[in-house]
Amino acid sequence: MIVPGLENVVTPETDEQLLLQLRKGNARAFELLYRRYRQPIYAFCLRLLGNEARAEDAAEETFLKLYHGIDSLVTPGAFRPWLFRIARNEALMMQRQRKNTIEAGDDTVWNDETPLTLLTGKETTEIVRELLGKLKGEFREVLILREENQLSYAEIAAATGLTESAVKSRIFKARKALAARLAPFFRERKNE
Amino acid sequence: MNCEEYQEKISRHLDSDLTDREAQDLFSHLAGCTQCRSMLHDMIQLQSVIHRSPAPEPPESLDRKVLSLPEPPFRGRRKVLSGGANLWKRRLSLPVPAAAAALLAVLLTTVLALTMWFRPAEQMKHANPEVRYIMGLPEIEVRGIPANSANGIN
Repeated sequence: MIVPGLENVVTPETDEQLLLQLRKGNARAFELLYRRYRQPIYAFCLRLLGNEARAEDAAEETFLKLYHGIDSLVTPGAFRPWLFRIARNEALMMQRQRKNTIEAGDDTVWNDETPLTLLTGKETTEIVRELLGKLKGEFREVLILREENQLSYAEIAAATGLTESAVKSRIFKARKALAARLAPFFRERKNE
Repeated sequence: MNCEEYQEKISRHLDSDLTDREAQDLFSHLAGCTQCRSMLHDMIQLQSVIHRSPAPEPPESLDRKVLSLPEPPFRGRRKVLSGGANLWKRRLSLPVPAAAAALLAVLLTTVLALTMWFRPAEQMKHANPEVRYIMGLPEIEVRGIPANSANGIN
């Protein structure tokens, strides 16, 4: 399996094979799994928390739980959503500790409005990253899991505890909101 | 079906989630709807930009912290621990028959030791008074003969 961002980690074993080895006490299997997932898990935590130090803490806790709780994973095939669910829970816990809940109380997609003028003059990738950070957590997490980590709808549902139809709906709303906000930039760049 | 529903299909189309029939229906609609065609274009652009964006790299301190974790308590497994591991944290893992045999051996040894411990005292009751004196056992009077006369001391 090719995991985005981890192409440099060359190992013939699948996640499932490494999990079986880890369950037998093979420390190398843990290191390989860590090297395979360190970047996606850290990036996911960073997208959810928006703070590097807290993202590092959440990622560390995630791998600690993998290290000590591997036996609680019943289905080896569900490893990726299981790991992202742990990361999500850790991030949510940190959010709650800061009394900045990720749950949305209404149907709006944005946390706050970013004046368009603040985005002008920036690279498109930078603008997208900023706007992603402005999405409410419930929309941001599903979009990140889909676009950056290529999880399937079923895997995202398993990672977040949502139904598949809720996942599809949230991804759509996030994309639509972002696309609407970015449309002027796309037109502008096209005309340049 | 209205434009909002078709736009949700556009999103699912980007994730290859549409059936052939649904995709055909969507493209028929797109052929005649500028607004939805524009949405398709913007969503494709957005996806392309997100995929192009480099994902943030974790700091080296995370590697140091995670890769220096102590040995995990692998439950129910036989594991060879490194020499530096804490002995008190090691778990004995024996098969059931071996554990039963070991327990039986300990019990038998204990019973045998106790038997050996009490037997000399029992035997000493009937021993020669000199031996009893040497062993520090209390003197006893045998059938009316004073204890101190039994060994000829008067």
